[in-house]
Amino acid sequence: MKATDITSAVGLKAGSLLIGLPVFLVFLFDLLSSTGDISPWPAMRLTLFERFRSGALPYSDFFSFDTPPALFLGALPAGLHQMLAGMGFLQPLVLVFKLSVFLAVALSLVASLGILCFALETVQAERKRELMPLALGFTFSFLAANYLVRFQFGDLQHLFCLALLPYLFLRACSYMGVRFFGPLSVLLGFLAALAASLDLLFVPVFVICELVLAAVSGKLRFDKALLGVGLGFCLAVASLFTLPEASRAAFFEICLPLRLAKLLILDEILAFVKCAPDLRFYLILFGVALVNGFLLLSRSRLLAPLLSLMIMGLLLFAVEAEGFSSELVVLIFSSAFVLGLNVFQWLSPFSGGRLYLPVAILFSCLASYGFYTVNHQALDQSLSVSSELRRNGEPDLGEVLDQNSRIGDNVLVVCDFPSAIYPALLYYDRRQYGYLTTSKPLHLYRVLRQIGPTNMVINNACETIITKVRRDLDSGKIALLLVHKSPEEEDMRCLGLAFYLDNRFANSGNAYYYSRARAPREAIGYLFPFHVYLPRTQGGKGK
Amino acid sequence: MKPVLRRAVAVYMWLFLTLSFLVFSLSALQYFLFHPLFIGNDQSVYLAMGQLVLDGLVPYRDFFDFNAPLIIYLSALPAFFSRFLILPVSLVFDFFVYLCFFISCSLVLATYLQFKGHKDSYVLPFAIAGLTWMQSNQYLDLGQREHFFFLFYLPYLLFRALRLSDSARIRGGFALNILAVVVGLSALFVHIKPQLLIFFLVVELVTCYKCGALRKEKRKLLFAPEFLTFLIGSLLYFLHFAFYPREAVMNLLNEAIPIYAMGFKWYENSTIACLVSTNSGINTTFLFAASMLFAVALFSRSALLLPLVSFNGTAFVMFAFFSTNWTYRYLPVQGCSMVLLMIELAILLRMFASGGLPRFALQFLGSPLLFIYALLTFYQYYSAYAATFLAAENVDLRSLGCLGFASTRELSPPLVCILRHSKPGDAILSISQGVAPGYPPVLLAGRRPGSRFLHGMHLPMLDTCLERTGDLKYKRKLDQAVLDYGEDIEKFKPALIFVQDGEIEELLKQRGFFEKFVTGKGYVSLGKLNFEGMKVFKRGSSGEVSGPDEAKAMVLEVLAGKDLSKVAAEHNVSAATLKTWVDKARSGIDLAVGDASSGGEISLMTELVQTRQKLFGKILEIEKLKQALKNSGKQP
Repeated sequence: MKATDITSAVGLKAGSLLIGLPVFLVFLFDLLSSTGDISPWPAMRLTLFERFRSGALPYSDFFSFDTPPALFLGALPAGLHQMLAGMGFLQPLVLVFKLSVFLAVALSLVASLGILCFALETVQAERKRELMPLALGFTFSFLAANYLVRFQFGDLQHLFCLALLPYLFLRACSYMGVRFFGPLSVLLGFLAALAASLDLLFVPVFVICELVLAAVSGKLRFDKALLGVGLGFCLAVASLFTLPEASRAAFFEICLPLRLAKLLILDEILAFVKCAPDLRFYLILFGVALVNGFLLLSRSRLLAPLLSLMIMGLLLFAVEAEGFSSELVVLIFSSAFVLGLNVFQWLSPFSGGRLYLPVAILFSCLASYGFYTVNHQALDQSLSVSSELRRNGEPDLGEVLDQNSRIGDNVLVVCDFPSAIYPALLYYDRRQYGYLTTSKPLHLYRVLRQIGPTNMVINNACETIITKVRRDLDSGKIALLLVHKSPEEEDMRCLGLAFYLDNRFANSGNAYYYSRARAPREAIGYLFPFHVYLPRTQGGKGK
Repeated sequence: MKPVLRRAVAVYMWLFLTLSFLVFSLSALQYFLFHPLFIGNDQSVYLAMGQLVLDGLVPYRDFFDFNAPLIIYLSALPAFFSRFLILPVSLVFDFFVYLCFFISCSLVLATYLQFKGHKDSYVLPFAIAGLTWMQSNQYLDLGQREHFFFLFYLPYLLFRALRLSDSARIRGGFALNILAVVVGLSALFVHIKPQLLIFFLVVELVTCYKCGALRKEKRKLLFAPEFLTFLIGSLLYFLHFAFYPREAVMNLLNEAIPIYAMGFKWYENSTIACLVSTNSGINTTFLFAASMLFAVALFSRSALLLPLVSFNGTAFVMFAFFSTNWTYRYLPVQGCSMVLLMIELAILLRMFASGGLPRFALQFLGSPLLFIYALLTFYQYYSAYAATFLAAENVDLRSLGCLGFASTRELSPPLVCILRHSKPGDAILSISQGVAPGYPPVLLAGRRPGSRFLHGMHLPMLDTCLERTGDLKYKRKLDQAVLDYGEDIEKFKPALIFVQDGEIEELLKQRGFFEKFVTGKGYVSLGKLNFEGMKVFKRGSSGEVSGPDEAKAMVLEVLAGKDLSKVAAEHNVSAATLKTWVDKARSGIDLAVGDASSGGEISLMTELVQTRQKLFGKILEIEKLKQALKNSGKQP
């Protein structure tokens, strides 16, 4: 391809896709050769949507911190799964889910690249110089960002980034004077708003990015995309009113107060270095991308909303105060994306040269190889944890599920984090019984009481949850109870549920969650064991 | 506006702004006047090292530390002055830090006056406001290494950024060149810690690139007087190590730095804890985000934003890299964010209030209103501190050899123990995993260190090195460290030895420290005093201490109705500590008799179940005994 070809619209798209090809191949290879587990949070949502579909009332019959749009998100892969089954292509739900997310990634890529290339055809020469390196480096940067967050594929923050990116590009180009096809603008605005309503905290992120864009441009521009935004938010609010009265009441009285009470509350256990993932590398990536991005901001104002997205990503992580990688996705995604774009901005003085494209592809190949090597080393390291931990010969959680329950049985896994529960229950086809999806509300209540007096709303919400949990434990329908040793078992004892552990169930040993802990550096604390409890009525003798 | 009127308005405004600055600064300083014994742990140990240097001891040979010596030299200055002023050394140190703060502000002000024609210089008074804001937030971290670094590096950063964006000034006048040399010297504080050089390199590179100073035709800008002064000063600083004894340099290079680099992991916290585990951390994280967001929105409005953003980003990266939630490590981020926010405020004011009525309102009303706010803030803090001071029992600092009074709350239990069981001039040995609790009490009591190791941080670090590498040389170093302690006990004969329980005690026990050097060697145990989990050993006979039984007796007296402050004063313990014990005891009682779901009936039910299980166990034992008797042919 000749150097001059890059500057044409077709040449740009082709060049961009060619440069992004090595990352795409690494991505595909990794997907096909890895264990294939989906992230626990989307797995949990898929499970919850199935319960919803089979008649359970959200928030009233099962607990969730998610907003109604996030709950309804499970409808898309479920619907696709049914459609494929109807056509004779019966595939596991997990695979259909992954395909749905890939479709979303592809659509986001096509939309954003299309917007950039269209803008390049329309704008003046000065703006062309600004946009060209971004367009060339777009595919590589976008795919690299997705690769870095592949352990949280399909999680809320990931979907938010996918929907927000084309919208931000659209609005930024609109501020440059580019006119886009009306229905496309409305659609992208609509999808961005829906994505922002997946979590309460995404709304201020959306607003801040929009404000920064306006501040950088020196004016506020209203166009059809904002109409789409309005429609999206209206639909999100309307989704709440489609829920039954009991669900709405439980959302406002139980889930929403706890969701807000959770913010900025750091459990003191998490202070220890082994009790939460070591994510410093991503903060360093963020810092480097921030400084680099600011340095190149004068070359392209398009970076402004992306930099603000990075900074808001940091705040999202800080405010959630849980320390999981799933809360850092916006930061990781946007930082990697910006840094990737910056590399091509640095290379842009050479874009007229013959060697530009080969050098860019070489860089992409080397970077992709680097991603692959580093990530697989880390993956091997995290999977090798299991061999160190098997020193006592204690079984994995999956083995315990297999040996002590049957397909379709109700189990209750009491654990603060969902990784141990989902997707293991999906794979072993057991059902998490009762109100607790994770035991986060119990632990949160205990932490809040330790910090200071809790108000009436929180007390009522948590006492309701404890009553529901007592009812579940009394029901006699739980075939197997797995309780994480710390802090969950202590939570149960402190909140008046000790009676069930001591009398209704019998402790019959320990199990560890290690075989599915696949995300590098996502070791869940010291990997305390799970205590295995069997119902006494079923002959559980205890240890 | 006529020139005379314009001048009058400027004087009017500057008068109120200067008074506001002074009042805000005094608002923060008065805390230390009311708490003369308050000083951070690290700062106190460097003061102690400064005293040792004044006594002629050589760092790294005669006493051990991980840090570069610049902080020790700096701490020697207030240590020197405190020998002549009959004031607590902690208070002299606080005055010294505030002096450094005023010097920093003066340098920024001088830069503003020199660059008055520059389009971006108008933000510099706001940078001073940001510095004042940062300074007023420093209590425990006042005088930390990062604090000194920020105070002295910031004037250089601002000067350099303005200089590089205004190439006409490269020759400058005499005053400008003198100022350039002074700020160049102030930049030498990057050598307080080796990693702080990264700040200098990043900011310099970014600023030079942005201003085109890396291009051939503008290279003169690079080697302006301030940069040359920094280069020459740095060279001289590195060369001064040639005057150190070889043993000292070897200890620094072969022991201190490698142990620190490898063993620091022991002190690490999780990533999320670093950001939000303390209120200060939460505030700094939000300040950082806010300052950077505004910087993105206003990026084209000032040449000073880019250098400050690159400083802030680098500070954040360094903080993330070391992964500890120590607030002083986040201080550069906090300080830079505050300065950035004030500069951004300046930019916004210029955008929206640069002329007409808004400007008039700002100048005529804004500055006196700011002064009134400063006075109100001063008074609010003053009345709070004064009320607390008057309500609490006070101790005459003549017992510490100084003038003044301090609340008994400032006498920590280790300090009280040192005062009770030793005399001025005695040596005290404290072995703990941090600088506290040995320091600041040893410093405040005017006692000497009882070992070349003023703290025991190297012990858990060596253990971490051994765990990580399996290299037996670290085991040998650990063994040697314990022998060194023994040697120092023999040499300095400390009146008291504090040993922290947990990992420190375990490491020492494994190497026979207590048998070889403490028990039976003229030291008696005073027991485990209830502060920071320390065991205390006294040379010679034992004495009254606050052991667990005495603590229980105090709590029971308060619960029986006696006045808490009186009981604390009688037993010479801090009222705050006694209150904590009493509150915990009360919580325990409430829990036992309350109706909460974790107590009350449910806990009684749990007890019932446990009692039943015990009874069942006893029944089984009786059955076994009966069977045994039956088998032996005897009647039960």
